[in-house]
Amino acid sequence: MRPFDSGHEDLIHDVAYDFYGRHVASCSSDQHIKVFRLEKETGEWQLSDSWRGHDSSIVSLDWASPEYGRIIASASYDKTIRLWEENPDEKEGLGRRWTKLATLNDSKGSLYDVKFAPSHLGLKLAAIGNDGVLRVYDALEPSDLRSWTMTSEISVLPIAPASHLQSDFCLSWCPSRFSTEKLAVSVLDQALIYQREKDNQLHVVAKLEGHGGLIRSVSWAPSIGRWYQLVATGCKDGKVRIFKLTERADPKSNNTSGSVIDEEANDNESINGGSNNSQEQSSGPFSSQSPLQVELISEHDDHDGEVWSVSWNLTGTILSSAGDDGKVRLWRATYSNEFKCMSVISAHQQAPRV
Amino acid sequence: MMTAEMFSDTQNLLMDVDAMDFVVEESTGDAHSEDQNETSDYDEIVDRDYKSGAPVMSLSKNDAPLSTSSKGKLKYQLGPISSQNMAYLEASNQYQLFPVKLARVDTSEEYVHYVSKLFEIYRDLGYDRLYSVPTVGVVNITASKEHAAAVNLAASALVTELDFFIEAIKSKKNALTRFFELEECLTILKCLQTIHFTLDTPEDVSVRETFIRNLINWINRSDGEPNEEYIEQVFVPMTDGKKVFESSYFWKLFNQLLLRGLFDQAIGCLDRSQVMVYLGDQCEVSSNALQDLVALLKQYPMDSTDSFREWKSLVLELAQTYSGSETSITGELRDYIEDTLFLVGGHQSKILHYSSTWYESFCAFLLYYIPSLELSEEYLQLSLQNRPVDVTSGWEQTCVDLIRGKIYSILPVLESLDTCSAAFTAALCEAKGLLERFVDDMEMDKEVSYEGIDDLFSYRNGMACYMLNNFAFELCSQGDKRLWPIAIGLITLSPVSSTSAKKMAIAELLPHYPFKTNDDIEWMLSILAKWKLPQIAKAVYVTLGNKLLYESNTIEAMANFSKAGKFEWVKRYSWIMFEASVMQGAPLDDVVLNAIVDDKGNSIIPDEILTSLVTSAMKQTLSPYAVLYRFYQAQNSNNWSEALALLLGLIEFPYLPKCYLVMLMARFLYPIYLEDDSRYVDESTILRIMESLENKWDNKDVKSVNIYLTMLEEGIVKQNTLPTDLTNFLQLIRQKLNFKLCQEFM
Repeated sequence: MRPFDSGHEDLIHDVAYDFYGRHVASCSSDQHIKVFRLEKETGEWQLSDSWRGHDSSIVSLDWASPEYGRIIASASYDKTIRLWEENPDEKEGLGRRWTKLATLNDSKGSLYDVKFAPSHLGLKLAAIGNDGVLRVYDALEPSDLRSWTMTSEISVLPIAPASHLQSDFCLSWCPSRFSTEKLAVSVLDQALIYQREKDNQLHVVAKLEGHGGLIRSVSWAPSIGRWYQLVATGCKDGKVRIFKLTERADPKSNNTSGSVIDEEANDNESINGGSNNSQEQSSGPFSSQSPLQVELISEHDDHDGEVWSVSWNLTGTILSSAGDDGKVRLWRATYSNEFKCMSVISAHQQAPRV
Repeated sequence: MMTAEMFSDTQNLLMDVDAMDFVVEESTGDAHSEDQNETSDYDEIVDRDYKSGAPVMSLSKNDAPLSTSSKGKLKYQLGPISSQNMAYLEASNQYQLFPVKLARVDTSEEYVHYVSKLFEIYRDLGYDRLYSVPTVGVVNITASKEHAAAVNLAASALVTELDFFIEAIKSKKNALTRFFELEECLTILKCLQTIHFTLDTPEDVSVRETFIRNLINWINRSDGEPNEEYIEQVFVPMTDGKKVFESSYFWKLFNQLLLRGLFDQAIGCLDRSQVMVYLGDQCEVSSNALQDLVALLKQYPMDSTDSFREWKSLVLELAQTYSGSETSITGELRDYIEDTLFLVGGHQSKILHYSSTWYESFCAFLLYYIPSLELSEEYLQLSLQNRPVDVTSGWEQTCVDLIRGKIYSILPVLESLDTCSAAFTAALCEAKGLLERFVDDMEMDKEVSYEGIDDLFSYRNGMACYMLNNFAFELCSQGDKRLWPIAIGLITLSPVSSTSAKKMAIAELLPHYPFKTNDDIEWMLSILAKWKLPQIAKAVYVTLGNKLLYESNTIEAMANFSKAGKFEWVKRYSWIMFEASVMQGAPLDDVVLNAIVDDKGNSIIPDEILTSLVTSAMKQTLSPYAVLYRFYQAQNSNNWSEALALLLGLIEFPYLPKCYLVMLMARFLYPIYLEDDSRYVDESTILRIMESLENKWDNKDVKSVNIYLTMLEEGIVKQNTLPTDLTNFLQLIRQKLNFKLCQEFM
């Protein structure tokens, strides 16, 4: 597979795949967003469109679920989140194919991360920046994507960090359809798990402990086929950590396991998205009051330096970590539930062989 | 340049291994380096990671962004398709994106075929997929035999399919690493089949023959020894005038062929050496002994152990007779012949002496000593004491493990070579009862804990289940829709007791199905229906609706929104079409839409298709457009009174949004009926219009204002004849209506 020139003229900060992996969007300090399309025949990426999205560096972007159309959210150091919708009637390559739907400018500081919630929670996104505030926005009327309402505003950090100090902020939603609305938020060296409780507010239900430096990346694994959740973090202290989050059963429940899950599944299926999920989901055996047990199941320092990014594959069976050593490591759980490095991708030029 | 094509003649078990120029793994990446333009299908391992021992691939063969050992802010994003992931450096002057494929992702057509075939084998096993030992009730003895026969047959089919797969890819460029991995996998599977999936096949008259053939096939396919070049060297005339058969090399070769059960090749070597001709002249006893040996080798008993006993007693008799006979030849040649006769007679020390590997002696023990797997552990021990495992060869230790019955330990090795073969092998081992489950009963009794019970990957479900589900998930990440039915099939068939775990997994996975055609959608919806997942089906309909909207196929999009229960969306798009039509003052150029609302029927689109397309929600929401459509028809036929009645129907429609009243007034009622003082409008109509204006008209409504201004700006209505704001427009309408009312009384 051949590398290609992104066309960006400054640092690339983020890339994001669309739901089916056929498009990829990138953003940069050059204030531009670019969308590339995968050519089926050649397997190569072609630039679909490029446009100036913000008035400062664009540091994060994400695609909404195709249930809501073709929408991208971007977050910038200009303190705004912008939402973009593709207009298929516009030609590619002219910079007009993506039209701005909305600008969300509540942040008091530079934004660092923006992520759409999984589709079953409705059209919703969360963002965090260096004002230390987590904000959640909902498009309460999905047929009108220009109208977004801030439904949660939580100070994760009591005081915003000093601007001259290095900082980092990340977030990742729990993608599981059969779990209460949750998201992992990292601010500086703290990682917290928020969950929507019966009062329809997000509350901290767990902490991912043990980080010895800025958390550079956090990624919540799809928990398909698994009863527990996995969250990975990449840290400045050089470690990739994998946390196992288990929602313990309510001992008072008389249900057998099978019927419990059926009930859980049915509960979810009766929900037509929206923010009232937690109300109905809490009727399952793992109510929002159930303790969320956190266990550090894996810790690796193979990168010999800062870990810059972690990400899970579609099914949550493979974790990637990329580090300062110029290597990408791919981790996979064994039958005995240990994560082992299955392969390494090196960004180094290979020394010519003698 | 070396290619896998050199392996073309697999029928010939004497593979020319030396000529293949076996390379160390590191250099395989260079095998096709001349061909830079060709897309690499398979991995190119450039190194081994010093920390984990994992294979190291390069981000880019020629354009890797970092110089050797330098550091960098490398970032990596795994994509939804395992063959498409992206790496980049967050660094100045590094603006390239690096698409990267996950290691061991095979996207070839041949692989899809192979996976399909293995799935068919597994699926067709039916109830034999599960291993059970009946302990209560009437124990059916034949049932367990039939079960063994079915599973053994499946194992045989699996090995055959892998053989076909290797055959199919061996000539492909850039498939060298993959080829060697699959060959290694095949060696392990052939050993597994021989040891665990052959001899217990009931009522099979050829079971011994199958076993012997599998055994011979396994060891000879594994390393391809002795190779042709070596054989040729043995037959090169000696410089000291000695004959070929007078050298130890010849007899070592001959015995090696016999150890490996290569009878025809051994007899061929004997003929080529002309030892028989020589002995015919020199020593009748030796000549007869060798002729008898050849005759016995040609009749090596495949049919039963009884005939083997008879055969072996003849060989031993021959060996002992020869040993006690006076011969005309002396020295080494006689010793060689004697050794060979004792080796074929199953003499332990002779077998071990002539074996250059542990598996040669292991094979020979089973061929010539006592052909019983009950002694396999003993044979293995003797063989390993004589020739230890070659640790540089991956399959040797794995085969030792599986001969010892350690099936668990071989599965990760297989998985590292090919996940597909490994998963189905694990499934067959499970079905055969080779994988014991170690479930801690104490743990099962713990206080209510749901952890692991309804988990597809729980150790309680066994390793085979774990591997099958993992493989199913892997297939879902390949982005190939042909692999999805197999993935869903595997999850469905996997031996997990809880169907809800499967249901939840399918619910999460299926929305990622890369549908393209209507048949794909039908399949996806049928799976959702089967698993009773209506909410996921609704999400699929919404996704589909949005995709169709993107393709400007509004009616079909609405049909899908309607099926998803998104009635607000159906309504919204109906009104959007209504608005667009009013704006252009004519029916929309949409054949499907107009066929739906056309009362007279439309010959272009058959009624049954329209009926299936239009949902009851659409019928309701499209009714304003239907009235509008009839209004255009009346207008075109100059039937002004009917057109006015229809327009009035729209104006009075209780669910008509306020803004559209303004639009209908400005676009139709005013210019057609009010502006022209001579156009007749009856009193009751005027009063009804006035009442509608009273109820709905809102000068301050933003949407009404916007729509009116847009109509003026875009010249949809005449700017000169209409006022610039809604208040004045309303006044003008009232004025005209009053005038018409007066006209009526006058």
